Amino acid sequence: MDSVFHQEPFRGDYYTRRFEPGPDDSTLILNMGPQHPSTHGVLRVVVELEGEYILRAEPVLGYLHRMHEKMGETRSYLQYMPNMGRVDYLHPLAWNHAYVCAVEKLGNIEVPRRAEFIRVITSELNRISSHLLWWGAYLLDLGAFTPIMYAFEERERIQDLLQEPTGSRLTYSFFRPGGVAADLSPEFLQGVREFIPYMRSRLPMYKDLVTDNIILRYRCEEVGELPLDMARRYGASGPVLRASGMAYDVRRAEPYSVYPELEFATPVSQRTDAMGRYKVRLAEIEESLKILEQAVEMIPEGEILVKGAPKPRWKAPAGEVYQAVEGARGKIGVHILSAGSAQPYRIKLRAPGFSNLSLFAELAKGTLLSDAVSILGSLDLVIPEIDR
Amino acid sequence: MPPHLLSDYLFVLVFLLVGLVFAIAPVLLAAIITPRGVGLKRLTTYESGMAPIGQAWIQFGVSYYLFALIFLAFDVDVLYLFPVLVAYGSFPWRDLVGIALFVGILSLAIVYAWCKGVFEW
Amino acid sequence: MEATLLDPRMFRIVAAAMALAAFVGLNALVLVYLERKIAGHVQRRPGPFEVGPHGLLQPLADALKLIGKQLFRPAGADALLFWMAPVVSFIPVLPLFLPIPFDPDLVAMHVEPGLLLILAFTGINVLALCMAGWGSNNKWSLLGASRAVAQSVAYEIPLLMALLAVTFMHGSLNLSEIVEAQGAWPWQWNAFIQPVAFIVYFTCAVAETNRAPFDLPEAESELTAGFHTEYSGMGFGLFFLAEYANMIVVCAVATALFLGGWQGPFFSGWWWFLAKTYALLMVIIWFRWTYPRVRFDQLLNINWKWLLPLSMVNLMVTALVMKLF
Repeated sequence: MDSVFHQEPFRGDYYTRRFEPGPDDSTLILNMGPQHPSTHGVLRVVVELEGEYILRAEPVLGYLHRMHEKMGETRSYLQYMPNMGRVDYLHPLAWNHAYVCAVEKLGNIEVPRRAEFIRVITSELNRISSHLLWWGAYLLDLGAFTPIMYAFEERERIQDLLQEPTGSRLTYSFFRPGGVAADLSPEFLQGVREFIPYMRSRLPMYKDLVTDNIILRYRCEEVGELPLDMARRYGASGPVLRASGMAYDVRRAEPYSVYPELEFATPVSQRTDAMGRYKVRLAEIEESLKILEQAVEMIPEGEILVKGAPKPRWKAPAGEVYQAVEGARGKIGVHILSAGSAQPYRIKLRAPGFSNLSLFAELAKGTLLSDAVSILGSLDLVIPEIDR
Repeated sequence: MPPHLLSDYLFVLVFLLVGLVFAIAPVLLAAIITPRGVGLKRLTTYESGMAPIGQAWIQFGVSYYLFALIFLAFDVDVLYLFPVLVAYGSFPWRDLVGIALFVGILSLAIVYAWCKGVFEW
Repeated sequence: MEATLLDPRMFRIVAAAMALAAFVGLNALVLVYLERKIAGHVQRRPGPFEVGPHGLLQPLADALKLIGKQLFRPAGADALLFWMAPVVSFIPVLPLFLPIPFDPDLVAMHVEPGLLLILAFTGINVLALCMAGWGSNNKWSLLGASRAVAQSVAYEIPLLMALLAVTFMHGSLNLSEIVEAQGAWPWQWNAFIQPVAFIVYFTCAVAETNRAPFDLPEAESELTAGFHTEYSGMGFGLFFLAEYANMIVVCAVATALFLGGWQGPFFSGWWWFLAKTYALLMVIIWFRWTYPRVRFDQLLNINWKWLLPLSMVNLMVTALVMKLF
C-alpha cells in the first residue's frame, strides 16, 4: 500500500499553479485551509513560507459555493427570501433588508412605518450579535479561549429575543417585501430596553479584561496596516474601511429605511491596523445600542405589512434596481434585473467579505504566519457570503 | 568510579526502564485493541484537508537560528557556574571577582547580539 | 557490579519507580479534570458534569477513549522517528521525580546534584518534540517542532540562571537540603528572599512546558496542532501525559526551591508539598484560560531582552550580597 505514496510528490492543483516548488527551494508551500481552525469555515489560503514569513498568500474560494445567485433565477421573489438568511449567517437580517428594499424599489411598494422600525431594531440587534461573535472568534484566533464564552452570553440574549418574532435563531428570513413577517410584542420591546443597559455594562469589562491586555495589544497593534488608498483600491467597506480612516457608512451615505431619523455616529479610526478594526467594531456595538435606544421609543403603532404586498406568484415589473445596505461586514448590495416575470431574470449579490478578503493577499505579504492569522481574523470573514 | 556512584547510575537506569515500560505498555495495548480501518485517504498527511504540495523534508529556512547560536554559547557557559556554586564562599573575594568577570563576558554576547540587530525581525 | 544489582535498596527503587509511575498517571487524570473544571468555571459554565458525580470520571473516560483510538502513521512519515517520539517524550519523565522530596523521607533517592539531574532530563523532552515534528513529514509539525526547539532552548538559560541564584545562597544542588534551609513561614521562603528569581523561574517554567500563553509549538489557531498534528490515540496520549508530568515537575521544583517544600506553619508534611504544587499548577491553568497567545518573535524577545538580563543581574546581586553579609 505504501507504494502508492512513493510516487512523485503532489505538485498542487489548478489554484496552486503559481506556487510550483523549484528544484532547490527552501520555501514551504502550505495549504492553510479549508480545514484549518483560523480560516473560519472553509476558506483556503495557499501560502508560501520562508521560515515563518509569508512570501505569498493566495486565498482560494469556492468550498462553500451554493449558487445563491443562480438559484434566484429559478425562484419567485418570495421563495428567494430563505436564501437571504443563508448568505451571511452572522448578519442575515442585513441581507434580508437589502433584498426586500431592492424588491420594494422594483415594485414601487410602500412600507408601513412600523415595519421600518421593526426592521431597524431587529437588524441592529443582529449587528451586535454579529460583532460579538466576531470578537470572540478573533480572540480565539489569537489564542484566548475564554472571551468567546462571554460574548456568547450576550449573543444568547439577543437570539432569545429575536427568536420570538422571527421564529429562528440563526438563519433569519423575517422581512417581507412590503413589511415584515410578524409584529413585535411589547415583551420584545421591553426585552430590548433591558438588554441595552446590560450590554453597556458589559463593554467596560471587555475593555479592562481584553482590549487593554498587553499581549493582545502586541498582537493587534501595527499588524496588518491597511492604508486608505489600498482599502479603496480593493473596494473594502464596513469596519475595515472605517478603520483606515474613512467615515463611509451606507446608512449615512445612501440613506435607506428610517436611519436618517436616528442619531448615531460613524466610528472611525486612523490606526489602520488590526487594533483599529477591533476598536471600530466595538464602538459600533455602542452606536447600535444608541440606535436601538431611540428606535424602541420612536416605534409607532400600525400595520406591519402593506396591503397588497407581493403574493407568492407576484410578477415584478420589468426593470433593474440596486440596493445597498450597511451590514456588519460592510456594504451589502443586491442587484435585481427583472424581465417582468414571477422570477428575477438575474440577481447579483455584492458581498462585503469578498472585497475585504481580496486585500489579504497583499496585506499578508512579508508578515509572520501568526500575524497573517491575526489579519485574517480582523477582516471578519464569513465564508458562505464570500462564496455565495 | 566509586561503587555508590555506580549504583546511583543504576537507579536512574531502573527509572528509565520503568518509564520505558510505562510508555510502551499503553501503546501496545492500544495497538492490540484498536480498530484497523484501512483506506488510502486516511493515511495521507494532514494539510488542512488538501493533498500536500511537495514534501515537508526540505531545507527549511529557520529565521531564528541565530538565537540558537547564542544559546549554544550561553548554555555551555552557564553549566560552568554549577560547580562554582558548590565552592562559592570558600575564598574571601576572589570568587566574586571571578564570577563577575565570567558573567560580564557572557553578557557581552547579548550586548553584541543586541547591537547586531539579532532581536529585530 | 553484582554487589550493586543485589543491593537491598534495589527493591526500594523499583517500588519507588512503580509508585511514581502510578503517581504520574493519577496526577494526569486529576489535572485533566482540574483543567477542564477550572476552564469551565473561568468561562462560567460547569465543565464536565455527565460522567460520574460532577464529571469526576470524565478523565477516565477520556483515557479509555484515547487507548481505544486507531493508531495512524501517515504514509509519508518516518516510522522509527514517528513512533519513538512519544515514547522518548515520556521516558525521562520518571527520572525527573527521582530527587524530588515530597517529605524528608518520602524521596525516591537522595541525589546530591538532584537539581542537575532534573535539568538534564527536562532537556530530553524537546528532542522528542523535534523527532515528532520531523518524523511526521508534515509541514505544520515541522513548523511546530522548529518553534519548540527555539523556545525551550531560549528559555532554558534564564531558568538556569534563576535556579543558580537560589542554589548560590545554599551552596547545594540537593533539593532536600535547600528545603530544609528554608523556614516554615512564608517570609522565610526563597520566593520572598529571591522574588526576581521566582518570577523568572515561573515564567520560564510555563514556557518550557509549552503552556499558554507560550504554547506556540502547538498553537492550534496557527499550526492546527503543531508537532502532534499527525498523532492519534495513545501516540498523542503520551505527549499529553508527558506534558502534564512536566508541569508537575516544574511546579514541584518551584515548591522545593522557592516555597519551602514540605514545610508549613503547622503539620509539616507531604500534604504541604502537594498543596503548594497544586496551587502553582492551578496558576498555570489559570494563565491558559486568561491570556491570548504571544507571537513568536515577541516570545523570544521577552526572553532575550528581559528575562535573561534580569536573571543575570539577579545572580550577580545574589553573589555580591552573599559576600557582604
